[in-house]
Amino acid sequence: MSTPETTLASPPAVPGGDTWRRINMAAGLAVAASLAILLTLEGAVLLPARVVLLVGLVALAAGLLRGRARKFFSGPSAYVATASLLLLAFLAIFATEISPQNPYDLRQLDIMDGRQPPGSTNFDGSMTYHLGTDEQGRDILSGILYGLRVSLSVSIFATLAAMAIGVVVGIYAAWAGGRTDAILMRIVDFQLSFPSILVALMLMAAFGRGLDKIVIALIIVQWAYYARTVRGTALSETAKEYIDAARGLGLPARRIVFGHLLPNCIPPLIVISTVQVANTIVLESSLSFLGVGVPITQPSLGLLIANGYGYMLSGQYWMSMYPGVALLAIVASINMVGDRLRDTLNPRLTR
Amino acid sequence: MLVFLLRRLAQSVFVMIAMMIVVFFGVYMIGNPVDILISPDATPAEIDETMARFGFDQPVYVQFFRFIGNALQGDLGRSFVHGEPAVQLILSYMPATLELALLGLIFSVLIGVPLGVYAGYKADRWQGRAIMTGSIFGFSLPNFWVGMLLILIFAVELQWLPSTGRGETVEVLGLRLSIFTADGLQHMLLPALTLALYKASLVTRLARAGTQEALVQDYVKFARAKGLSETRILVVHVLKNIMIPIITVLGLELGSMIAFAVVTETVFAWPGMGKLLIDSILTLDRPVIVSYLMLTVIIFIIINFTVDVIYTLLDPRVRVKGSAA
Repeated sequence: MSTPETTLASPPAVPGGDTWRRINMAAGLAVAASLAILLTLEGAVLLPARVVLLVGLVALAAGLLRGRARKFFSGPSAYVATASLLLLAFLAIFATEISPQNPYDLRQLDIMDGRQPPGSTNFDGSMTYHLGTDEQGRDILSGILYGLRVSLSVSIFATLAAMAIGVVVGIYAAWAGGRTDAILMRIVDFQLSFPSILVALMLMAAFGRGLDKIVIALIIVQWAYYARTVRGTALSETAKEYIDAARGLGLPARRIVFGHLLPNCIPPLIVISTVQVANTIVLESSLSFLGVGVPITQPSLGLLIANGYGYMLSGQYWMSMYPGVALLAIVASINMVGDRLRDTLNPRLTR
Repeated sequence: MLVFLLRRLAQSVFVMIAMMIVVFFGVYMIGNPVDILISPDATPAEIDETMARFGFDQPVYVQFFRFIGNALQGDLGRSFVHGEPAVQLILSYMPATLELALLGLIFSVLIGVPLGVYAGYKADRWQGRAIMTGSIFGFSLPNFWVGMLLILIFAVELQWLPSTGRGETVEVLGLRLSIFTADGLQHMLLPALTLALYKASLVTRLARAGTQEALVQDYVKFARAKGLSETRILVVHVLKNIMIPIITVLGLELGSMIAFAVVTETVFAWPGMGKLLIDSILTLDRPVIVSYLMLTVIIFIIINFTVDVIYTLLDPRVRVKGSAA
């Protein structure tokens, strides 16, 4: 099948696009499914699911950069950002294997080791707390690795789910047009007129804390954004000749929408969703910092920072500081990768 | 024009009513506030008395209509924790948030405009690129993280500025404000800076884009031909022309400033509406949460309405489209 006409906003077509499109779709689904499994399991220990997740993420990245790797890696910042992102993702996925202790196994904690500064050792000298301990004698490094996993999995899953909902609503609105379109877009406008942090805060106030609840709240605050973007793309794509051609062939609407329209609406979303993962991490950590996010049994980086915050004024900075550095590292590297992706995938925006 | 405004006004009222319904049922599901209000060793008679006093013994729809009826009179219930009417309670916390947001806006202009104009002037040089990269960090840094870092540097390490609270306040026109006392201003400096950072990045980008556009205009060429210094062209001619859109955008951003203040106020223990909201969520103080939400919805509806009116005045195409739809 020939590749449909490429717009400025979508990446240039590469031969063999169909196989890769299927691989990308499969990889995206694999990532979403394995994340869903890991999020529902307490402690997220299922190894096969984590391996699937890692393979899925790598396949997604490979599909994105296929034929464009040289352009993407055109400066040192791209290497640094990609390397740190890969490292952090690896640490998060294999946190259970890597971290020196299980910070949420109470048998491994000793209250006597509470609030030890970085570099101190435990009572019998068998373990060094490289980044210090919190008030319950929990190794901060281990806490960060586990927290990284919570932050990343919650944000990536919420972003993928919001994107899926947004794509469906956006394409439906564009395809249906008329009154349906008007009503859906009014809802989108209404929701986007409120800052997402306020909406999320109110939702969490109504839901209460919980991993599932924060994921739902993050999906609700994000879907409208994708819906509006996709509708715009879908409207301009529908007006193009390849859709007319597909109609002329007498293809059923379902086939046109899913086989022709949908694949052409996804590419502009890739860059947005990358940056949006970073924004979601920030939003989630802010909510957790405020005490309305993840539950205390599965702290994300934001909750770790909040927990240590009370001790910072007395100079015991490490409990908040190091989780904060990890948060900054993950947000900055995702944003830098997103920046490079935008320059690579979108010729219109390169100057 | 009038039809368009009336239509928008009707939409706003509809949104308000929809929000009330959503809010009431949303917050109703939080849990049973009686469990939190009454001590575990209370007698059944005491529990019944409290239930009756707050109306929790009534069916949901009775509670709902009572809620709507009272809300229309500006009465959204009493705070469970403070015992005061919730709306009044929030209004009494409002000046602290507003002065913080205002100083934040001022800071974001003072930081963003010079950086943006300079970045626009040196758009293709390393200075311009460095400023733009820096503004990405301004966008992506978590608000509470910045506040924490500022506290660590200026309050804990250097001990130059206080880390929490409002400091000395003075009564101006019946409002207790910190901004007019030296001590209060010291307390405001760090939180306002934290709040300003995100908007400062926005202003930087706006100012850069405006400057780049202005620099190729005829009046700049003319000013150059007159032999004016580059500084004078930038500070007098360019600045004057780019300030209007920046001020407009910032005025519209005041609402999101109030929303972001929730995080900043919590970090700095600043006794404003945002801190009150968080405390109320953590103690399930339902009337205060509902009142806060209703007040912010009103604020945002007013802001959005104003935006629409301004756009209609500026761009007649919007009006035609709006009345046709």
